Amino acid sequence: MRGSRGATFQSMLPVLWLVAGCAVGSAPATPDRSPFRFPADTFAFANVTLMEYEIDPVTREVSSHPRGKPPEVTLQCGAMVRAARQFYSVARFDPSAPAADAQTYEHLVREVLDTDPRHPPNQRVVIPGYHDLRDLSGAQAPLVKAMLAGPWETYLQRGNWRMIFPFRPEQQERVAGQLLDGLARGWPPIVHVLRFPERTINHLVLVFDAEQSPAEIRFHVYDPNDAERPLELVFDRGARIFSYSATSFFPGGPVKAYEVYNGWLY
Amino acid sequence: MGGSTRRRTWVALAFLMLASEGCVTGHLLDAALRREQPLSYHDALVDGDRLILGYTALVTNDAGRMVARKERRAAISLTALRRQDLPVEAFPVKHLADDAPFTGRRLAIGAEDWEGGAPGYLETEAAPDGREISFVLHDSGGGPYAPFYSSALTRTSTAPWVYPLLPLGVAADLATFPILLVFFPVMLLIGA
Repeated sequence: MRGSRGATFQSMLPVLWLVAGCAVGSAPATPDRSPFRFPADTFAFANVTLMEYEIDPVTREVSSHPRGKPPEVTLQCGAMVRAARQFYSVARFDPSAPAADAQTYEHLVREVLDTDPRHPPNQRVVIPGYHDLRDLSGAQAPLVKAMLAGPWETYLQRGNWRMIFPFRPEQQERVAGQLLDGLARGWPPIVHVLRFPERTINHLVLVFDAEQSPAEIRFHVYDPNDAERPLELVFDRGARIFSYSATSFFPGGPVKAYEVYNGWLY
Repeated sequence: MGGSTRRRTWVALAFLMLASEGCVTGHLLDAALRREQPLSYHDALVDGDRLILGYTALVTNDAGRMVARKERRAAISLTALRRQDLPVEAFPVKHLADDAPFTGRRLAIGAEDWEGGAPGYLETEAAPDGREISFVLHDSGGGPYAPFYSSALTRTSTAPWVYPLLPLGVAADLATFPILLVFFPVMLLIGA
């Protein structure tokens, strides 16, 4: 009987491990890369929300209405941060080489986007004629936009299963440590920021730098919805909560955060 | 035998659900979470090796919305305050009763309230939203002192209205957890 109970418990352990969200993958470092740079390593265009948002400056209540014309790039925050990290880890830009034709760029971009987004691959894809991703995605915007995965990649992001479960302060503290660890290894983490079950924010961003003080850790993030400036994801060490910057759709304030595109579970 | 197996399965399922904090139960507890952080300091006294603080705390819910204000008192060790290497989460703080007596040498709050003859003052730093997020103690009787960050005084509690709802949350979790267990591998298989 004891053995049977033990066996039942043991058989449940892997599931418990998964559900508790304790499984953390560990991507290898990319020592030969310089740190992720904003704006050079980001897209020249932004992901645009499907709705237009208005934030009441006093109550901070958010209201929304449909845009007159549907945006060209929308619901693709996941696809954009994933691609930004793939370009960062795989692409080598060679501005001194002569520019190629559209077909060649299509092939090269496809090669980058087909690499494993969870691990820095060994291969390198040389992209001639441009300084960086900002340069390429500005000059070849229609091609790059067309090649990014659609909204399905964000909706079906593997780590989405985690969002429905609660996040406790000690778990958020672990996430902050995990993000610092990723940065130290030269692998900018991709983070899902949310307020589930509220729908005020449900977004993917890329963390590329951090400043630490005794009171907080200020993570600098590339938000694909803002091509102009980096935003901040701040971890309050005392309260053990994350807060996200105000954006065009979010009034700013506490969020939950966890790393995605990290290990086979996320 | 069959009944015993069913019971064991239910117990294992309940254990799993509770260990994962459950979706409904966990979010109920999150909704009831109350977080208190200092808004402004109004009393500061040095009493032996302790700095006694009186402050107004802002009580917010998990989404950061204000739900109340409270008058709080706390004591911090001056020895700890002299250390430069203590992170906020490790700073020793003693929360006192809300009506604990103020004893010791009274200090001024802010340099502008400090008279030359007074023993010292708290130099506070405010965030753009007005919250006093840190202070440095200037005291002729000791120091120098490291900045003290208000988030070390963070207190959390759970609003009592949630407790009668927990059995309902547990029941909902027990009913939905098996469905989640089925969909979880599906999400892993089709997820990008």
